[in-house]
Amino acid sequence: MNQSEAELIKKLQQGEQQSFADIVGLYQDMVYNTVVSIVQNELDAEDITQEVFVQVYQSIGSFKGEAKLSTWLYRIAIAKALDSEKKKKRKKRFAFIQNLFGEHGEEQYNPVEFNHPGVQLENKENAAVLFKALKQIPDNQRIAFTLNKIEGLNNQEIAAIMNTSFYAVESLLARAKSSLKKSLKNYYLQESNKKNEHEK
Amino acid sequence: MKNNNNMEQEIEAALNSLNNVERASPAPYLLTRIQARLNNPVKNTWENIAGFISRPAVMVAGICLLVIINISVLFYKNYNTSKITTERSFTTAADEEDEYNNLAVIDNIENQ
Repeated sequence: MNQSEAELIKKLQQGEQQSFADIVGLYQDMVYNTVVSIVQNELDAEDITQEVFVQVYQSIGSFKGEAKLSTWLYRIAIAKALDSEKKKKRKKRFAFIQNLFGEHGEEQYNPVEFNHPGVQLENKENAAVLFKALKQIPDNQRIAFTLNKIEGLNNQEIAAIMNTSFYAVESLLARAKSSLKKSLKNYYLQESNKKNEHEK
Repeated sequence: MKNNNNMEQEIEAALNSLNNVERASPAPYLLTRIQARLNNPVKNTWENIAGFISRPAVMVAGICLLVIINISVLFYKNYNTSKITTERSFTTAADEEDEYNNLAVIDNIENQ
C-alpha cells in the first residue's frame, strides 16, 4: 500500500467525508468495469457498484491494511457481482414457475446480447460472442479471465485478489481459455448449422 | 477443412476481441447516489427476514419439515391406537377368565 492510499484510509476511518469522495473518484471505474464485465448488464452493474462503496464506507473500520485497497475493493466487487448473479438465477427460476401458471415473468430475466462499452467498434460482434461464452464457464475461471483480459491485471495481482497462488492463476487462465474455445466452437457450429438449414 | 480453418480463425478473433479494451465508466454523479443510499438504507429487518424465507431452498426445507412432522404424528397416533387396542383385548380376556373362575367357585359352594 502506498503512502497516499494509507492516508486516505486513515482519514476515512476517522470519519472524514472528503476521503470517501476521493476513494469513490479514484476507484469507481475500476469497480464498475469489473462488475459490468461479470454481470453483463449496465443497470445491475451500476447498482452493485453503489453497494460496493456503501460496504466500503460501512466496514472501513475493519480494514487492517494487510492487502492493497484496490485488492480489497476487487474482492468486494467480485463477491457482490457473483451474489447478484445467484439472485438473478433464483428470480429466473421463480419466473419460470410464474410462466407455468400463465404469467409472463421469464422475458424480463432473459439476457439480451451484452456489448461492453469499452470494446472497440470493430470487435463488438466478436466480443458479444465471447461474453456469451464467458457465461458458460466456471466462476473462478471466468473471474481470472475477466481480471486478466478486461482489467489488465497480471497473475500476481489476480492471485492476491482470488486468495490463491501464482501457479493456480496460471492454470485457471489456461483452463478458462480452453473452456472458452470449446464453448465458442459449439456456438459457431450451431451458427453454421443454422445457416446451412436456412440456405436449404 | 476450409470450414475448420474458418472456425479456428473465428474462435481466435473472438478470444482476441478484448485486446485493448477500455475501462467502462458508471453514469455521472455516482457519489451523490451512494450518499443517498447511505442516508436511506434500502432494506429493514423485516424485509431481510421475508427475503430469507422466500428463498427456494428455505421454502423447500420448510415444506419438507412440515411433511415429516405430519407423517411422524400420523405414525405415532397409529402406534398408540394399536397399543391401546392390544391392551384392551388382553384386559378383556383376563376379565373373562376371572369371571369364569368365580362362577366355578360359586358352583362348587352350591354343590357342597
